[in-house]
Amino acid sequence: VKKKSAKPAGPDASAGETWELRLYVAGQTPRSVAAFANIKKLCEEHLRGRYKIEVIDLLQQPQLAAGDQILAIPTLVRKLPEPLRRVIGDLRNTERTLVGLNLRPAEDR
Amino acid sequence: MTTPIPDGRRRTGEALRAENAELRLRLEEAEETIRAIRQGAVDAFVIPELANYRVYMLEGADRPYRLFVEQMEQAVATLHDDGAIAYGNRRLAELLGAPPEALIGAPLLQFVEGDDRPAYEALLAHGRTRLSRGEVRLRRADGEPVPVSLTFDVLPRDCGGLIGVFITDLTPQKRHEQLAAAQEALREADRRKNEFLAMLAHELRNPLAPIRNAVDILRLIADDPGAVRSTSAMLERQVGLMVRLVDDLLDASRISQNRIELHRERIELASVIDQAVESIKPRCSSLRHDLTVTLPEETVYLDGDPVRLIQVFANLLDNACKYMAPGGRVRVSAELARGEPGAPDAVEVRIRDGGIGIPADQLPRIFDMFAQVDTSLERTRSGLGIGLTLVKTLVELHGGRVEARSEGHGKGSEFVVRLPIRLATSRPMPAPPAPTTEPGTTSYLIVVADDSRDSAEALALLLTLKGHEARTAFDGEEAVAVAETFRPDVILLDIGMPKLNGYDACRLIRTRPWGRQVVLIAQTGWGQEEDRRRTEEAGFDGHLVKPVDPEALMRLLASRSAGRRVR
Repeated sequence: VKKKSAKPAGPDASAGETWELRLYVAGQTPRSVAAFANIKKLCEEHLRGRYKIEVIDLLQQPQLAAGDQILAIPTLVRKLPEPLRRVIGDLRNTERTLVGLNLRPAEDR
Repeated sequence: MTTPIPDGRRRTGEALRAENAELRLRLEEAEETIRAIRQGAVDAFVIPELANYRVYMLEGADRPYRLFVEQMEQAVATLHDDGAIAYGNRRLAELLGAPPEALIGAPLLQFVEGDDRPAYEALLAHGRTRLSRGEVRLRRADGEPVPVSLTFDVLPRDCGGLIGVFITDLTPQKRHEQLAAAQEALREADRRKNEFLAMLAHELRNPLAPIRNAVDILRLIADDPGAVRSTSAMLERQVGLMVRLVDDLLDASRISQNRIELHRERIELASVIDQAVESIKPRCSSLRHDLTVTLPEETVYLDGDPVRLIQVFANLLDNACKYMAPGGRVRVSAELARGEPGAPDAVEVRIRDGGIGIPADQLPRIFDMFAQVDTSLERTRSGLGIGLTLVKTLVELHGGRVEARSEGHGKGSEFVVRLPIRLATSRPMPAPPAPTTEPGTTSYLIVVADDSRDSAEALALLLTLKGHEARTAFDGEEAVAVAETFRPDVILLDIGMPKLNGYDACRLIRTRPWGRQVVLIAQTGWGQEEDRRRTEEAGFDGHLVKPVDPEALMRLLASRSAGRRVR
């Protein structure tokens, strides 16, 4: 697995670079569908015009699970900006998702 | 989640802080994963198995059903209460020509054709509480409309208040319906065409036997002038019959292609009726029918095509004579029909006979093409069943209408033709100037060009017998060459000819010094306005429809020398 640079984590939303997100789903299960709708909405609010969401269906291509070491579905992976981040679940909790993606610093940090 | 921690580096304070931050992140991630699983925010696990990974759905039992829904040929979707798509299967994405992810969260309304949106919204409104069904057109991403039937159904409460919608593509069904209708129409047309062809063959063969006999007779009795005359008269009658049949056929094809054209002018009703009566007189007298004509005292002017109006009344008179035993009575009467407020003044012409009549059940169909009342086995009446269709079409083209009345079988019949009349009915028009040259008194040098040798030679022979000097040519090049040496007054050119067609031959002749004054006349099978325009453009002086009648040719030449161009 490629080594990720260990630069200090911080809010990246203002950085202006394009975000590359990858959503791992299994067909169109309810939570996969919900996760897609939630991340799409969230990106439109915070990253409008500078994000890409790639949807990978592991029912059709299970071998792709190896690349980002996917354990559960749905999983959202932030490929760019580095470092790589993972958020598991249907992303229904916006606050947690924002923190998980480091779009907003957690209250306790 | 097992990213190796960078090592082999001097553990400075900064590096340690970075490592610490990384570890905290990974711990957070692990905690979040466990929380997500505990909270049921995931619905599948990915487990490495040997060389591959396998997806285990948490609700494993419904996976086959999910796959069915994904794979089936029926488009389905679940909608939120506001009509946004919560889920749509593969078939729906295909039907809409949009990627699956573009569907989720979008209102289904967005994919409905603008005109059908109110209908869609009514269906959806009903669908929130009970089953509702209807048809609308969806709009594909590429703009193509797709006819579909929609069935909305409320899903059980534990499905989160979603509305299920089943979307059936009706394109194949609509296409099938259209094809079935088209096929049925074709079958019916084919049946009528076959019936018609059978009758046509019969009708065309009838005059042929006497014509062939007449040829044999002429060979045997060449020295008996009286017998030659009567045989020739018989030939003329039979050929006339065939010409009428073929003319009817041409008219039938014009009706079916909507290509009948009127050449309207101001004409007198009396003149139309007189000429129609004139054309039917020989038949009338041979059947010993009594024909009376009563016309209004006023002069009635019509705005119409004289040839076509004469055809209307000749056809009706012909019918009256045909469907009546010898010695019957035909009455023609016309009267002005005023008093309908708002409607233009009209004249009503009635043609009444005492013939076989029309059974009530056949009255509505009597003007249909190929309809004939005559059911008798001997079929003494000839005709193709086109006449009345033509009458109706022509009368309606003139803005009039025609009606058939009969008390029933054996009670005779009456046809009433109502035609609008021109408002200026009382002022007589000056008669058109009469041709100053008497037809047939001038002798011409004529070239007849036609790739049908028999046609060319027969016409040349006939013209020679009538006192002209004629030469023949059988293609366009020969026509030009013959004319070059013969220097004719008149050249008759067929249009479809080998080597050089009639148009090009005409243009070539016009470039020669001797060819500027020569009278060039097209002789063709086509007599529509468009054909006449084309021959005129090519430089022809006149246009005659084959077979060329020498009398018509002489009239045309006479009118030309009188300074009028007659086409």
